[in-house]
Amino acid sequence: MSRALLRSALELRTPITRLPPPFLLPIPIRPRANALTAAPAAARFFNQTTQIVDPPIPSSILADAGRTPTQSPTAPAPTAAPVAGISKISAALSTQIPQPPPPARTSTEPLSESVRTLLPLLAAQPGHYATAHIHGRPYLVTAGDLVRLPFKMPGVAPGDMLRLTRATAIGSRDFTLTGAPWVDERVFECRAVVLGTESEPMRVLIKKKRRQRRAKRVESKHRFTVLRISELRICDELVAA
Amino acid sequence: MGVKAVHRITTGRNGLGAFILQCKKMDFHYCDWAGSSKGMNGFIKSILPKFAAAHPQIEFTVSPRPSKHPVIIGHYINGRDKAICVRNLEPLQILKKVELLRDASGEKLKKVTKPVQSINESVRGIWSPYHGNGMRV
Amino acid sequence: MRRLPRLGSSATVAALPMSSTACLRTPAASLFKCEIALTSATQPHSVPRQRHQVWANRFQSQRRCLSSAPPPPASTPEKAVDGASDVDTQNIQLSASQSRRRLRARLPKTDLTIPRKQRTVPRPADIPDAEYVPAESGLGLEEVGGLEGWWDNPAHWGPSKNYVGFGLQEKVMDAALLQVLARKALVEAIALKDKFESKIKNYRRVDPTPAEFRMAELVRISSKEILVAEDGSPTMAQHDVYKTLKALSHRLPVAEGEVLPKPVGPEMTPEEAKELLESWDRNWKAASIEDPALRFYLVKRIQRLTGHVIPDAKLVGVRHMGGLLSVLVKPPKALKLAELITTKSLLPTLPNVKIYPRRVTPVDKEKMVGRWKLIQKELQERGLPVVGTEGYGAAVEKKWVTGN
Repeated sequence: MSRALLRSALELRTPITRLPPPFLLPIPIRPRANALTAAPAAARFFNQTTQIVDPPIPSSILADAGRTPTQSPTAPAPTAAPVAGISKISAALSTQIPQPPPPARTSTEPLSESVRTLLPLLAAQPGHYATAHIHGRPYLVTAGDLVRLPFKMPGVAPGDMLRLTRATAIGSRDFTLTGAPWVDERVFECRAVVLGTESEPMRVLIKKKRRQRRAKRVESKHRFTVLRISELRICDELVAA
Repeated sequence: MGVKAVHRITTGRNGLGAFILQCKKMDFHYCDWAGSSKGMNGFIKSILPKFAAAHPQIEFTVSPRPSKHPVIIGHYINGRDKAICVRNLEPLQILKKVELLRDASGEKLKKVTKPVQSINESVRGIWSPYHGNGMRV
Repeated sequence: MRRLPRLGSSATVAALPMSSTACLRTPAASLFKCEIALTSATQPHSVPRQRHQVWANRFQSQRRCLSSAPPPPASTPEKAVDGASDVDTQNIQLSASQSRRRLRARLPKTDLTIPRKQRTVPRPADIPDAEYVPAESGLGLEEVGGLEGWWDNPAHWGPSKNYVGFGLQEKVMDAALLQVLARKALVEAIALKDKFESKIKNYRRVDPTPAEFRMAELVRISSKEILVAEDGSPTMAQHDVYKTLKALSHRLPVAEGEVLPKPVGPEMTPEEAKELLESWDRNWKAASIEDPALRFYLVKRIQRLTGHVIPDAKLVGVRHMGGLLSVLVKPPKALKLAELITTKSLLPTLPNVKIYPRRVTPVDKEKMVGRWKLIQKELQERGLPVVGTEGYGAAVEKKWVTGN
């Protein structure tokens, strides 16, 4: 325990982009997104993520809401979202240029009446789950879960934070919001931290034909990216606003 | 001097709050003379400075090991270590091995069939036949 | 280590002729012989030769004389007399101090450290105590003082007895300096060859081995113009040859006992040598050195000036000066990786990187965590070897474990 604490404390000492709480700063800081565009970014280490700044959603969109959770209207998924259902938040290594925050989601569909009424109830219950999809495969996750993806995700390094934007369902003990096929990504925030790459014991397959002495030994060893679901939040404040 | 057992009351879930890289130290062993260390020596000269600068949370040691093949040893927070022999490899191939050591958790390799591991309580509870609308047979 | 067998008693060996080492332990009676031996010892390298003769039993009848048996009269020198005769012994003792004084006067100058006055025990006849009974054998007596191992002490040998090598003791390793010296050697070799071929009548007392050379002389001689003929043979103008030979002229015979001058390294920095080297055209490297006389003088001069001995096997394949230089000048040794990265890399500046210049041993690892002293102490308490297995291999250990 003490070593882990020490290491985390040492990490804090490194010259990083992490800032003390805003009330301690002598000057009011601007959002990170503006800072990035204004000046070249300071050196960022691969396990330090840029600050996530979601662009403000105009309240006029939320005012006239639309979809119900139980019905499945033909609400198309936002076209700007990546196909894998992931928007990568941080860049892999410090040598790469820090990427700007993800572009504003273009979904302007108003939320349905039932979502607006029932989402606060769903959010009020203590536990939440989401069936997040990554490359078409569903993973039922709660905050703090470990997900071992069946593939090695390219271009990520340990410490990177990913935002999972594709979910077919989010829910609590008594309420479930089912998407058609996807739940609107404005109503939940699911983030995962890349822990690293794991592997498996070597698989050995002996290929042998009958009446032939030749035996072929086929070896394979797959690599898997491991994620930790660090956050799963229902964004009911949108509805409240 | 006895060993005192400390009762663990929590389970570490790396990444849930802070993220700590599991690899804490890497040892680079090379030989000045042997040909199998050629790529390793090139790696230490050209690539390692950049890699070490990009990973301030990992401790690096570089030491010769005469008349032996070059080896990289990664030490992990869980107390285990992983050694990779990099004989006759090119510097860029060695970089891949180093990244493998950096990304590894230090655990033994296991076959995992379930993709999601959770220690949370079930959100929706255990299914019961006596609750809800009941089943019509 | 004793070089000579222990003598039985001083009376029997008092007048024995011996080598310079042995005579120093004899009483005054043998000082006459001692003088002869010391005189010969001043010649360089004569002492080892005598020692060798002693061991080879060629030094008169050494072996027999050194035994406890009394020496035959024939082998004793003219003045030495039978030690058993009491009258003669007294005479010798009386004249001992005079003899020593005479010897001192007649000794040549030497830088050997000779043991001074020897005190002897009174003879049984001189002791007034009537109850005194002399011992019949010296067995079991403790030996006090004496001259044993006197010449084993290097401080007792003068500097003239030190080995002086022909070549420079510390080899010149700098490439530019080596080339400058090689050119000087070539110029001198041309001049010496001309003298060898009797083209020049003057300078009979030329010493081909002068040891010291100064900066100005080095520049002056090595900068003499070397003309390379069409067939490659190098020549020099007549007056240059004369000047070179004059510089080589040296007081030839080394006086007796004189310390040979040690070869002295060149008073030139590598930068100056490089500058000088660039001021010459590269023509001189094409000079042929196939002439045996020239080659002989050249190689000899190179050994004297630079300390490099060019092996014959390599010399056979060398035809011109450039080839010789490639044999002489070795490329600098490649740096070790640890040296390279500590000087030229960014690595040592990083706080999370540690570079070790040598292998990190298990002992080093214990030292890093401060456990080594404890381990050492505990092992020593148990009488176990601190490092290694004290010669017991794995097989022995297995035998202990399995009990076979």
